[in-house]
Amino acid sequence: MKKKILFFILMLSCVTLSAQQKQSPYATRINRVLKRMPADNQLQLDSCMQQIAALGINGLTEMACMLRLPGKGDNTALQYALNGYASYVAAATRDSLRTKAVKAWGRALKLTTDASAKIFLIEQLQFFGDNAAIALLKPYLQQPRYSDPAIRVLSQIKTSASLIAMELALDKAKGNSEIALIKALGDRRYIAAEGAITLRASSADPVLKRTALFALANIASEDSEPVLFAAAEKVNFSYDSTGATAAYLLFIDNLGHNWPTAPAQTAANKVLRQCKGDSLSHVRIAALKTIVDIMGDNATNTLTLAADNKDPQYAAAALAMAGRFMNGANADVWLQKGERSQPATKAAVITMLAATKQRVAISLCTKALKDSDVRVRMAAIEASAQMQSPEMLSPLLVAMKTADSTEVKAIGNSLLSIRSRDVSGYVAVALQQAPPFVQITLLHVLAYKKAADKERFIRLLLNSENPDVVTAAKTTLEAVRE
Amino acid sequence: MLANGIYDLALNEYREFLLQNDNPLITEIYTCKIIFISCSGLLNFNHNMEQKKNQSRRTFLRNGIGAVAAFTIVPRHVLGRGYLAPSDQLTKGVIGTGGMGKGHFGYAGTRVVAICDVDKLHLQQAQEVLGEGVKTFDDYRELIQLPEVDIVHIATPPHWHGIMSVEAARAGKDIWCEKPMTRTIGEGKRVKEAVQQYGRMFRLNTWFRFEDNFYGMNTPVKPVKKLVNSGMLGWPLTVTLNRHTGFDWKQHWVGKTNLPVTPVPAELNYDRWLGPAPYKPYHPDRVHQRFRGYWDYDGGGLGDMGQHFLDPVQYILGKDDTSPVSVEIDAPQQHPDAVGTWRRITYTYKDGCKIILDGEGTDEKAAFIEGPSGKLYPGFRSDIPDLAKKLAAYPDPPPQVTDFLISVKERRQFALNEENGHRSCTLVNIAKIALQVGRSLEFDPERQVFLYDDAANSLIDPPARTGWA
Repeated sequence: MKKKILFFILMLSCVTLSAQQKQSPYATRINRVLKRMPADNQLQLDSCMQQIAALGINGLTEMACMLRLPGKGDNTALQYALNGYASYVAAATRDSLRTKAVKAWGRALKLTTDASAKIFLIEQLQFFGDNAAIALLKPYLQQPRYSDPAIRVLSQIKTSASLIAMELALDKAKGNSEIALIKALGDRRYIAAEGAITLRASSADPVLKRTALFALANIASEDSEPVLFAAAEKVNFSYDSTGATAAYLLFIDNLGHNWPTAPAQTAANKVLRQCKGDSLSHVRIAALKTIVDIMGDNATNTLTLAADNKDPQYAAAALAMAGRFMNGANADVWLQKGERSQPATKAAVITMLAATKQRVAISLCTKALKDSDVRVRMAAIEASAQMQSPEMLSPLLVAMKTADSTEVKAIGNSLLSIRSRDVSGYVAVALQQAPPFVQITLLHVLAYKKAADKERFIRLLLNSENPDVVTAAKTTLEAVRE
Repeated sequence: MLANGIYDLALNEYREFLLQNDNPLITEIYTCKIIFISCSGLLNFNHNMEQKKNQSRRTFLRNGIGAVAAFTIVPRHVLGRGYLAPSDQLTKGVIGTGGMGKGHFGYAGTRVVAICDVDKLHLQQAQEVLGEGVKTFDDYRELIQLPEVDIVHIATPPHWHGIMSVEAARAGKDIWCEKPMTRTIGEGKRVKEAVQQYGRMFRLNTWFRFEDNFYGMNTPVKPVKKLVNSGMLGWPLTVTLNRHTGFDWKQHWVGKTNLPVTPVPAELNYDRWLGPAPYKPYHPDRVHQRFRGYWDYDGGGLGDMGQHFLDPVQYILGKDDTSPVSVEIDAPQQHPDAVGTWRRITYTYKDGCKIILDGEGTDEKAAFIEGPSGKLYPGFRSDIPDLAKKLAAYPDPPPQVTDFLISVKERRQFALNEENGHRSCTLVNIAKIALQVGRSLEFDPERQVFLYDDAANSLIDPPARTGWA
């Protein structure tokens, strides 16, 4: 009996030993890391990632291969670990870990058969994939199931090797893979792919055509101009499913960033000449913006002319562009423009100069407050609030005497925005000689400013013949004493 | 002067009339009378009426700057709260007709003429609300081509906002976009470029920088901005957003992992719902009302509330044209698909100003704003004695265009637009990226890239899926 028991124990030990020998040397360490997933903080995360790094290429490969089929187990802890490591190795100064990780990923991709696990692994390469990952991804570029994540990774690698890989894959690609490759090559402005993409720009498939047109627009080679222009002209520069007009406008905008810039300017001017209709206002604006971007500070004359355009959207857009290029030198040009312009334009110029806080606008606003056109006067009042300049105090208070009720209210609001300690003082003095409606507005200003030191000026209005003024004076006195 | 006198007399007459009558027809006739009086001397009324018959409504609005200025001589409030003549209305096409979209049908001064949704059920329910006259689409590109649409209102999940905004700008539409403005920094840059290239008006639909009480602060932003501008708090400032200062981070917006594959409902075009997002098998948790828990479409409570909370703070601190130089995080590790919780996010600007997002509300005594010279707490409480009185002497912040209708008609940039909206959304997006890569990051506000971190930079403008097209 004893012999039997001893034999049984011996056999059991052998089986256990054999099982232990078969078990991976990494299993315990991997499980230890997985149990700590998700890490609670950065310190713990770094510690876990260091443990994964210590597994080496073989251990990491084994870990990546542990992803189970959907519905056959929970991959959550593994996803935390693998994604965490993908981000970890992509930080600065971790280049050697990154190289090892790419190798491990390459092995794991070959060993993994499940599609969802493969896609997960490919997607992680977006964080740390480099030239070494390109060879791993090549087999997937034309496979409908994997091409999308694989192309996204190659697009992120952004090296000439990744672009060449995509260009070569484009030859045989079909469907979504073809579209994704064209988009990626366009986004990365890969000029060597221009020919292959141009062929697709005349496709009958609107999605393929659209992708090709935008890719050519991004590549922005001058040679593509006739193709892109023809496509936009064919749809009369309207918006359509192929995006031909937008692609052409993007093209000339990108072309404007190249040297020489003349071709872009010529193309933009061509758009301005050809697009006349009301519905193409935005197209003209886009062309104008390209011209202005190229000309920079020298675009002021172009913009002053555009500001007079009969199309109010175009004129307003020109002023918005002028605002972005505003400086002391061209502010004077705009000042002169404002003085000479028709009321609508004058009002818009005042608004633009004030929005860009140009001091030259003060003199223009002062004159504008006396303008016969209500639009100009209102623009000057609002501009005073924008500029917050104390120099506008007196002109505003003077303008109040002849203003209508809307303007009086607007001036009252503007006074509250003026940057000066003297606002209450000026208002208190003006209070005495103003018409009743203005007095009420000015009393509101003093109440809002809690101008207790102006009580004696307010008290004088308690004797007003106008009962509304008396009531307002009483309310103001209470407010300033609070 | 005479014209002004007639105008004022007519206005007074009209005010009294409004107090006595509430018949809409009579009111409208009277309104025309006032407009006629206010326009006399400025416009040849009869001539314009003749011309108007030959103009389309859209052309009328396009040529509207002069006309608008003349019409606004009659203040809108005088015409009665919310009153707007039909010819003055702008038309909207709404993309996304779930809870958010439906909630935005009824803005005063606008009329919905077209709707789009990839869920047939949503579309059908929305049409029942709006009536048969509204055009319906399941592809947004068809909606934005409609000549009768002035404004495209984007009420989809955030992963669509960037693409749709750019396309709408290319089609010459003005844009009303729900928050967060874009899901990535790259999309935000493209929206800004497209809106400015095509001269469009863009409104990001969070309004706290100019309207309403700023959440639990129980005060609008204007006096807070005034206080900061006054310098009374000193500089640099630290802003803390936690439940004690009035901000709930909605940490329940977390995603679930290990989702089982579920059949796609017949009414949903799931491929188009995903659009630019990477393909993931369908599960009801990914879509309608629950999508915020997944990085591919949004960013949890931070994505949902971040721009609501942070945009006014950016405005208050005067940071509308810049971004922080660093973002520090204290958070558990995040899953690559499902959004998790976080404890604390700290942004630091170049000048030392800080914004602290205290997700768990651990700092009970935190002030909303703290500076070297003073603190401000909810309800405008402060350790500065007689704050309200002292503050009254300081100027108000410059006014902003806060009515999108005015912005569209007068072509004036809206208060919360493509530029400052992109910057406040960048606050949300850089924190999301820091959470996703699991570490604190340094950011270059000019180039809008992270320093020394490829993983973080790979999330600035990740390539989109193209299959949906």
